[in-house]
Amino acid sequence: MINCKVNGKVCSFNVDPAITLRDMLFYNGYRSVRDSDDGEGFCGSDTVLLNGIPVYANLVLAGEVEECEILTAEGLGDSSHLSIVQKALIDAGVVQSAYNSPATALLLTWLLERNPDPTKEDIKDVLSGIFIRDAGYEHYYLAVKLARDKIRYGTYRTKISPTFRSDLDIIGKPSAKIDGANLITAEKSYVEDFVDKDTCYLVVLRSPHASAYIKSIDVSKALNVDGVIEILTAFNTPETYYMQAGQGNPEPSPHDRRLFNMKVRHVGDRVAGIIAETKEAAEKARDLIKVEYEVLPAVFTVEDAMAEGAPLVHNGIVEYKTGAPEDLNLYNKKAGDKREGKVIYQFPLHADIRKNIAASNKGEIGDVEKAFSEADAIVENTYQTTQIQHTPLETHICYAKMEAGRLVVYASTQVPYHVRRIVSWVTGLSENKIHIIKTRVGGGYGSKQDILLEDLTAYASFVTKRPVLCHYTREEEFIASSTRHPMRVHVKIAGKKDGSITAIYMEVCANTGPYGNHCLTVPMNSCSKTLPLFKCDNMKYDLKVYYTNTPPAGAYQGYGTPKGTYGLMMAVSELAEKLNVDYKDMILKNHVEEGYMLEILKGLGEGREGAVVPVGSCGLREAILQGCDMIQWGKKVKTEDPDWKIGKGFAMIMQGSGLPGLDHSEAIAKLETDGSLIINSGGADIGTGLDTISAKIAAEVLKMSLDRITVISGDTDSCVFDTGSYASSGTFFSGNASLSAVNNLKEYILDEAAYQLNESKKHLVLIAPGAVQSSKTGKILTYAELSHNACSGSGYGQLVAHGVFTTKASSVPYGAHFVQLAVNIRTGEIKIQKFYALQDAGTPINPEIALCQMYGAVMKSIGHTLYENMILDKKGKCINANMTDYGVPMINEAPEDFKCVLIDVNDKYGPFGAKSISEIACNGAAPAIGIAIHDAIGVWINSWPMTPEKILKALGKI
Amino acid sequence: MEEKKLIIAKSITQAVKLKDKDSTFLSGGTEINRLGSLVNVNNLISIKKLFLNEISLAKLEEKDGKHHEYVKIGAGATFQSMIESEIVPDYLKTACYFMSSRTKRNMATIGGNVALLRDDSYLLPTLLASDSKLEFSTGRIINLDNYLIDNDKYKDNLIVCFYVNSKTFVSSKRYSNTAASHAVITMSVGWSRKNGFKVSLALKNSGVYVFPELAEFMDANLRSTETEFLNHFKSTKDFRIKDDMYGSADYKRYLLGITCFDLTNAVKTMREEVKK
Repeated sequence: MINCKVNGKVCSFNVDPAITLRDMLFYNGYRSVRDSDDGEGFCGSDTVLLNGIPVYANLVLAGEVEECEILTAEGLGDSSHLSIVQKALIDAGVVQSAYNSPATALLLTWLLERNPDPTKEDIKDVLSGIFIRDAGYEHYYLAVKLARDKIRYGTYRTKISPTFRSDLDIIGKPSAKIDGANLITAEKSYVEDFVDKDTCYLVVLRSPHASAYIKSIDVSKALNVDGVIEILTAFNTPETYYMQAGQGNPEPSPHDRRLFNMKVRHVGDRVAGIIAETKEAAEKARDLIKVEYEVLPAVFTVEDAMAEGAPLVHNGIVEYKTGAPEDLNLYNKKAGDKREGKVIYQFPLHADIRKNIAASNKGEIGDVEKAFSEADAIVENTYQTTQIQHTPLETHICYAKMEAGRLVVYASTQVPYHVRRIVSWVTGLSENKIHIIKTRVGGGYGSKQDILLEDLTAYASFVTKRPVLCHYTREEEFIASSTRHPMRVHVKIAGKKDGSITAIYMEVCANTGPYGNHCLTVPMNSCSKTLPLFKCDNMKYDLKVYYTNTPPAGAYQGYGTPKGTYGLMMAVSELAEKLNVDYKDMILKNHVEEGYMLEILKGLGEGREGAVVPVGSCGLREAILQGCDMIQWGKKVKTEDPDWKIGKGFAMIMQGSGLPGLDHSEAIAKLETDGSLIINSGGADIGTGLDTISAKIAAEVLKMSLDRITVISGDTDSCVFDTGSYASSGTFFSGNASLSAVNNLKEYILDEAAYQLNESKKHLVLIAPGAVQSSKTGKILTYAELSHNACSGSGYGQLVAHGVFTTKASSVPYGAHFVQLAVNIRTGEIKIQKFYALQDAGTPINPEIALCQMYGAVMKSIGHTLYENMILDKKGKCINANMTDYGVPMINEAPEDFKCVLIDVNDKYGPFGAKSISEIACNGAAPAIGIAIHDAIGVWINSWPMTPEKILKALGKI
Repeated sequence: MEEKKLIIAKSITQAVKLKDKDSTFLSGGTEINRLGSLVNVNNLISIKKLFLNEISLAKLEEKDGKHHEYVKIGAGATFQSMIESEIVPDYLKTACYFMSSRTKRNMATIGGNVALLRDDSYLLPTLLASDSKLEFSTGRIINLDNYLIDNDKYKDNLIVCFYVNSKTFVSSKRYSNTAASHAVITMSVGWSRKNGFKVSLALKNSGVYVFPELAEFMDANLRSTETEFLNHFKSTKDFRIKDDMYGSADYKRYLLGITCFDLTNAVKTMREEVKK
């Protein structure tokens, strides 16, 4: 028995003294003490105060806290009584996916109690043990200022963010995220908070080989372990082929896997799933399974994969749902061992698995060869990017159970409706028998667009009829999740002496790993979100995607764009140098402007014909000019220390706002009998504030206060279809669906009010707070009165409106990112001194949240550019599959002077003029840093990560 | 492996008595309790309740028969408490800051960091370069160098405190991917009137080293230019070095040469400034 005080109360815990303090607290209801790193002491989600000092609860053993005092974040306040710091964090916009937001509230409260007037360095020091991936760190400084204002003056004196659209009351103004209070106080939010006590555990036996056939699996000893319920393998699970990418159906990804395959294709691939009553029993059984492998040669790079006679990752039967080639039978005669399985295409992806090609595409406008032959200068280079992990604070998790004959799945997902479809495929249950509940998501960044464990967890529950929990370890997150595709981007670019760019050729070779999730669309994005930045009549692209035996690749925030932007903007900068033209002048001369027809998009659809559209609203030029002023482009900076050289760089960037013609969003708006409102949105809020966007749209249209609006989202039973949160679609698609629903509801309200007031609808207007007024009689009918009357026997019934949004219009966000950095020519060290990110996001509906997403995305891309890289050994095993060795940037890596700026542009198609915000912010850092390094020391670093060792090599020091 | 067992030691005597091959002393917990810990034992003897965390001034009688003043730091003193102390020398505070996480610094202890002899140790190079001493529960005091060299002999002993000389000039540098990553190289150069130069190094995937021969060259001014240092580390076989995920051997050798040169100059500058 451990006796201690927790949050001021005397407590006794009947636990083994050798378990961690974190486990003791979490499993006794202190949900704020979460675990993001399996006890590595890195992320800080497990922070508590022990005798008044912040510690990682995972690194303290329960027995050591006897007679100690512990404070967890629950001790700060509850969602109805927020503390000043908790409220300030929400108001500053940093409470997003929020997995360790309670811990940050605890730390900053501790700081302010000890030091009421902390400096930036004090705040930095206190947050140095906290890893934030979503919102960056800048607005934590703001949150402290807000809290300090509140303590000192009783009100905020510091401006939270700029505001937009003075003609609107709520849109474009900062307001607290509607789920912020629940998240910061650690109320039930995430999948792990909904797990029943009788849950069983699913652990996975993973392949130690990069490529091997499974000859046999002996589970007899494992099945004898007490508590083991079932062991699933390729020998007792369905032969249903599918893929794990959460994309619109039919997917532009091959169906090339089963729940368990007879061939393992990467170190970490699934071999068996063990379901047991305790995790310990499942792990013990896992160790007792005997697998006989026939080990095969493997390939790890695109160069390996494209080599003549290379080992084939897939060599089975190929099928097509539509568009099968005429010679398919002949092709299939070359299929290898039956254990290779199948690859099924929904439509042709121009693949050839006998050459390891998972997909390909090419296209051209104008006459590229002619333009090259007439150019004054040509630059031709190859740029290499690496395999990057998303590292969400909440690792992948799924909890499934059978309830009343239906399969209920709690999922931390970006795509609840795609999860339901895939679960339906693997279980054979129709969709009405499956209920997906998207909980709050503790970080996704694309990795939770893929159905990586929901398929198996749901199937395990379905066959055992037991509740089943599967929770990835941090190592599994690296070896069995999805990652950013490593790419080789070859760019050839031509220009004239006057600075005009006359031809661009991009050849992209991508490594999709063992399965083809997003294999076509990620590399296409490298071209479709970069080439349209340029007014150039001659452009050509050639994409090939290769299967290899690396850990799987998939969607990652920015998709293929960061890699294409890196290659292309680096090449443009080099071309400017070669032509002796200032890079800024070259960019200004060649960037697109509103109205320019984007012919290049014709071939760059999602595996289908793309639409040629004109450039819509575009704040690109303003971003470039304002950024150049801020960074003082052209002004050389010198240091007193001769070892350090200063350089500047920038890159223009773009993305999309969902997938026009493919994405689809719906919402329902329902006026309750007291006049409050519930919106059932199909959209999946993954911490980015999408629910808040729906609420603010409704509040704006219906003249209601936000506290009278509830948004329920991502629940497949109560909501209506939405393709999900990916491809920057949330605000544009799901937001527009909510707008459509509330606009329809507005009409119903006016109709009903006209009936109840016996007046013409044309004389009625909505007024705040939530009422209809007659301009003719002055009569006011509150929503409460109206709704009550409608539902009390004499009205037309509850007012419920449905909204659907699909479009072929494209709302493209643009921007430019600027860097000033210092490079040490003796050690190769790089310091980012200034980073200015300027973006046109249309009307930012939640400006403070939007800014934080920009900071977060930039930090990620600084990480990808300078530090992060999954390193595989010669056998394909990831040797840095933990947070410390992998190398994510934290507050100490943040730029010294870091500013994000929203360019004020009102878009024609977005809800209240909004476009997407966060994905685009991943695109600028790599080229801007690469260009700045060249400006500083005169060398081009053409591969990620740009390490000190590469700098020293480029300088000839080693 | 059997289930891990935690014993809270109530006295030094009890802690020492409990120590066997299948147990280890548990101090801050930031290494032993964390994922990836290299310590693999069944029994953990927590020494937190022994409160070995005092930082004070102390005099030690040395071979010359004189009493020299040291900063006495309890083995359970945390990195953060050393930073906040008014008497801990700045060079040791610098090394404490190498641990970037404040939360971790609130937990990690000097005794734990030394006893584990990790090849990415935060403090060892600095403590070695400063000619620090340590004291066991038996009362025996030895130089840290000896603890390193004869670790098999001493590893089961309970360290109760360290003696750090604030008059030594020490400069240290740590290289890592990010601030929170494991160190690839942590190097220190120290100089004292009594012992001259001292160079120490923690090299990831290799070990912890002191280079007496190099120090002798430095004392004799035979290694003073950047090229001489680069050449020395380019060819020396004083330590194991290999290509690994932290960088190529060539890169690391280069960094060692550059860094040793820079740290030596920094120490010389400190020395000159004091002379002024």
